[in-house]
Amino acid sequence: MRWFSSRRARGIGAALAIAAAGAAIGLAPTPALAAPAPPPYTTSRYMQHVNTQRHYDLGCALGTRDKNLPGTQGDVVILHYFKPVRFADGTYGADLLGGADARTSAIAAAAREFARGYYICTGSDTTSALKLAIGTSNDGSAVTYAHGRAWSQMIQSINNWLTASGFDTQVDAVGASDIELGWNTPSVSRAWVDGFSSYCCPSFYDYGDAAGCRYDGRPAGDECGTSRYPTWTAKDVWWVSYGAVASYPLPQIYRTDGAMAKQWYGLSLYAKTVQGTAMWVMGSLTQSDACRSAGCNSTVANTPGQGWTQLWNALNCKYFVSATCPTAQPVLYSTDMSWTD
Amino acid sequence: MEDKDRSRRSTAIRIGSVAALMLVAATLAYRHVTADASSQGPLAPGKRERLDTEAASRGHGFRAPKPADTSAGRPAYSGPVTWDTGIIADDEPPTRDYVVRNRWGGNVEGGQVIVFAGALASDETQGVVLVQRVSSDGASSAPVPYQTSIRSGALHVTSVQGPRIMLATDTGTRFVFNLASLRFE
Repeated sequence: MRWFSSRRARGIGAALAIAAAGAAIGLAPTPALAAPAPPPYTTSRYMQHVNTQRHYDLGCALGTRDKNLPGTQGDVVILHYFKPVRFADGTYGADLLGGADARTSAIAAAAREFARGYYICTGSDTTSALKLAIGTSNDGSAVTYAHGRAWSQMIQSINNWLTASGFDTQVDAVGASDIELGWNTPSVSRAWVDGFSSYCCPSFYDYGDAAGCRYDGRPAGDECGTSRYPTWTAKDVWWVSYGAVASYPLPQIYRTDGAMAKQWYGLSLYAKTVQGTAMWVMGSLTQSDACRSAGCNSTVANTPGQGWTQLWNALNCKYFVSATCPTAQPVLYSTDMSWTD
Repeated sequence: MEDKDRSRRSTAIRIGSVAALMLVAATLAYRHVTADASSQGPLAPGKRERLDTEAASRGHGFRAPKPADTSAGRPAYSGPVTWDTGIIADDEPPTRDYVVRNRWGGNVEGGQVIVFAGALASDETQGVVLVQRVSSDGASSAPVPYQTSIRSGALHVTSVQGPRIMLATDTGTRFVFNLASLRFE
């Protein structure tokens, strides 16, 4: 009997140990474990026009893809309309690079068609959802508080239309900007974000960079910035990407050496240790499709899966191991830039 | 013998207890990390309120019907896309890999073309032009770079004669890029 008891105890102990080990290997996000599989990525686009038919077709293509994928998809797509402009009549818009400048009213009309195309073409799939991020940048002389507020008003008008049209069960619009530390000063960039946040209540995704910020596993600090705009600090980057009430980061993670992902770990660590709350990073942005068509250095051509995995690994303390990961979070989205618009 | 059994039992129970604690910890950690957007973690102050306000204004349950014919919802033709033409004094680069001094837009052999003139961002002594072809419905190709054979600085467009783009650097070195052959002459 005693022998039986001892064997049973050993058996229970062994079973629990095996179960725990299995759980640890399969489930827990401890630094030593592998990242989960990346989600299906979407294609984000450099937009040089506001053609409503083309926008509908692009939205429809994404909706059709989601309908044909098994299960429910959660997508983000950035439509990047290039730098802000202010028209002579006092209205605002975006530059469209080589295309003729477009007012926010024209951009909104085009974005609405993208959303409508997505909604209709998802067909029987009524659960997949799209965050449509309508983007500009912090480049140029029209980056102002007033432009940021006008961009937010544009986003809110799109969301009002989506609700009124019955499309908002599957699509909502968010404002977005490619805020790069080599394009403008922190004060100008912050003013734009503050203008956006001043108008209730769209969210805002910063899909820019963190140039110059450290990537050695320590919290980001005053080292951020570029040779042209060296005054950026971790606080400035945190503010535009997360500190402002509307802001969430969706950062560029295109470098193959993982440095960009590690920069956002350093920023989230700064957010946690200095500002009290780690960042909530929405996802990763890569540029592999744009690189394929335009050519670029192979060191900046992460695939979407590589970018997402680097970001997940960084935020979940796989690169810089700590007993309790202060920045641990899921990473929802993976999107990749394309020149096909 | 009895002491040995007790010792084994005690060891087994200790292993089991540690294992059980690991299981609980792993499960809690898993639940935290797999949280989705609807349970967005510890958001910074003010963010939850803004999200809630935004959500309250939306999602009243009205769902638009979805036509079986997806092209039925396609908008009517909205006219050709318009492009800037001539020499445009705008330094916006198509990507961060380049610095741009100015650009030219126009029609070459029946197709709209944009030529960005500048240099590599990583080496501003290396002049470059980027050629992008665009169509009337807005679809555009990626800008394709062509570098000068000698490093003499960033380029800008000075004039255009047919398919020939006249360029100069800040120091006055002149180049000609031919859009028909896609080569510097």
